Amino acid sequence: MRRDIKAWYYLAPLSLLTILLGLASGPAGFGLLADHQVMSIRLPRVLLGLLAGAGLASSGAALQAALGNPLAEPYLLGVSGGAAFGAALALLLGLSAGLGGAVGLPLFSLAFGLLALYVVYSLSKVGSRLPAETVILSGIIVNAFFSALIMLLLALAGRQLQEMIYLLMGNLGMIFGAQSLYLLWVCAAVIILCTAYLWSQGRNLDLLSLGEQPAQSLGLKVEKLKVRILLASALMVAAVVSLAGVIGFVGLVVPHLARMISGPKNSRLLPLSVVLGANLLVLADALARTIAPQEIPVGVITSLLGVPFFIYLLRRKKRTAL
Amino acid sequence: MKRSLYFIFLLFLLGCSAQPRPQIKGFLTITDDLGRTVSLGNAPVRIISFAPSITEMVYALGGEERIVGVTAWCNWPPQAREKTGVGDMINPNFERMVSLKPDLALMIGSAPSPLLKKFEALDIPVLCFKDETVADIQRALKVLGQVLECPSRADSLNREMDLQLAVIKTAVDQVAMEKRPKVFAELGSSPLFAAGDSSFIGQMISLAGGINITGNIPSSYAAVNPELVVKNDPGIIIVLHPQASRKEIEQRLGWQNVPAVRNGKIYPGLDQDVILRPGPRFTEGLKILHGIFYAP
Repeated sequence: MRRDIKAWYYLAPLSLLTILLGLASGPAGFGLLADHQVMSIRLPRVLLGLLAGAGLASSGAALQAALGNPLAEPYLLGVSGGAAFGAALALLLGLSAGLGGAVGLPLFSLAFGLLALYVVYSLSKVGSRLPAETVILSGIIVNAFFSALIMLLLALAGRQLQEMIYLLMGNLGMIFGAQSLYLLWVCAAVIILCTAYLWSQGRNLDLLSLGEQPAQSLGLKVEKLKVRILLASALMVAAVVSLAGVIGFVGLVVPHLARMISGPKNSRLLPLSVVLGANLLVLADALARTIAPQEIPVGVITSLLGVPFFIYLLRRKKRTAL
Repeated sequence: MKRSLYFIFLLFLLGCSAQPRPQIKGFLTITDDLGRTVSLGNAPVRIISFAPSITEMVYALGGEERIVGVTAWCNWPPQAREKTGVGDMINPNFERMVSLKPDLALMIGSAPSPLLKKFEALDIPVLCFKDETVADIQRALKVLGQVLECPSRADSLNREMDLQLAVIKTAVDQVAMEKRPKVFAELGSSPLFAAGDSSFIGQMISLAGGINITGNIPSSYAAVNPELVVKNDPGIIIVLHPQASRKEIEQRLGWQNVPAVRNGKIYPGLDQDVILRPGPRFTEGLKILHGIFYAP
């Protein structure tokens, strides 16, 4: 049997368990039937975890394929930096409460996420082509620039400082207001549509991984495809950032994990990444909610888990290469 | 040529360090809350205050004419805003501070800050006060009374505080522990921020006769899960930040059955400076809280 199909037999019940575990754990006590009021707090949070994990993982997988670079991920492209700056700017301008929080903040993070992407795109464009190396390089530069801008905002911030820092650390705990629920539906739509689009491009991404020129000669409109993939990824990242802040390493590590199971074929890799990413983030958040009476930002947990795992992957790769 | 320039430069440096230090006549020697011994040669007349609570104390003691600089947060009494601003302890405007030629800096904190060490290096005396408990406030007032040469004024302020504390304590003591209202003090809404028992607001709540539902969080302040509020059934929610309105709180997911929400006992728009600031007006804050907790 194909390895990825075999994996799905384990993943399906595992995902169910993850969701149940996510719903059952929290500071109000372990249990599913605790109190439907408690459940109405946990349910959107688990949903947000699933969505954010899925969105980050699928955009990571798609970017790795589209740019032919194993280090590609949403954060490397500078989109996250731009989106985070937009969100922080919205907070500094006092757009966190009321209508501003529901509309202003996500729009700011989308606008600056797209701006970052546009700058990366126009910086890295060579003629009509979009070489992978220049995309990564300009992503790093744009990210560095937005990091500096974020530092500036942190220095200027007064009472918004705490909110900004939690946004930059990545946190699923912001979602408990009625307006954020509305925002959750919008972001859900964005993430599901974009992921579906990326999945539909699985075969084209496979072609792309043959190299740009072979893909072109097989009739693929390479640059057009790349632009669309970048755009879909940016949309998802901006959606995630505006609800959950900056969550690192999911987009980088999960596609590698999925590739170990499914092999490089993108139509198999993408759904596996989506499900693994969703599972990972929900589990990490369940941990973040229960290990201490305070909220531990989930971005801290994913980075703490992600870095050692990435080192493990690297060492494994080195051993097989030898 | 170059060497002689170096030599002149070295001489210049020596000259700087060999300047005679100001003669200490011994106006006052105090041990501050960090256990530092501070000697003041003369009665200080150019003071920088690094905390709104300390600024309020100096004004309450009638020493406002001796203040030359305040922080960006010092907003009470209103006249304090007219003093020169020197940033705050996190983002200090150090040049402006030095240009004010202060002869005393008043800071708060439970450990020496980098700023404190900078002042020490410049031989500008610094007194550092703790601001975590009522006892800290009263001790700070007493010390400031000595510094500003009005110890009797400080004593009478402290006596007045004791009196008001006693009135509230008598009222609160009559209420059995299990009958006291459960209170959630919200200090921020994204993420939800709460206060532990060791914070000043935690102590204010218990002095005013309430039970802080997030009292057991290990630090003074921390982000908490909104589940905790639902689980602990607070009868009263006091909102100590400007971001959340009553309506927003009522609409939060899963909060509809929280007793405070059901009974409309949500209190936004409180005077945060009076309630959160460990200064001479804290008894006013205590009265406000007691009034809310035991509203008929």
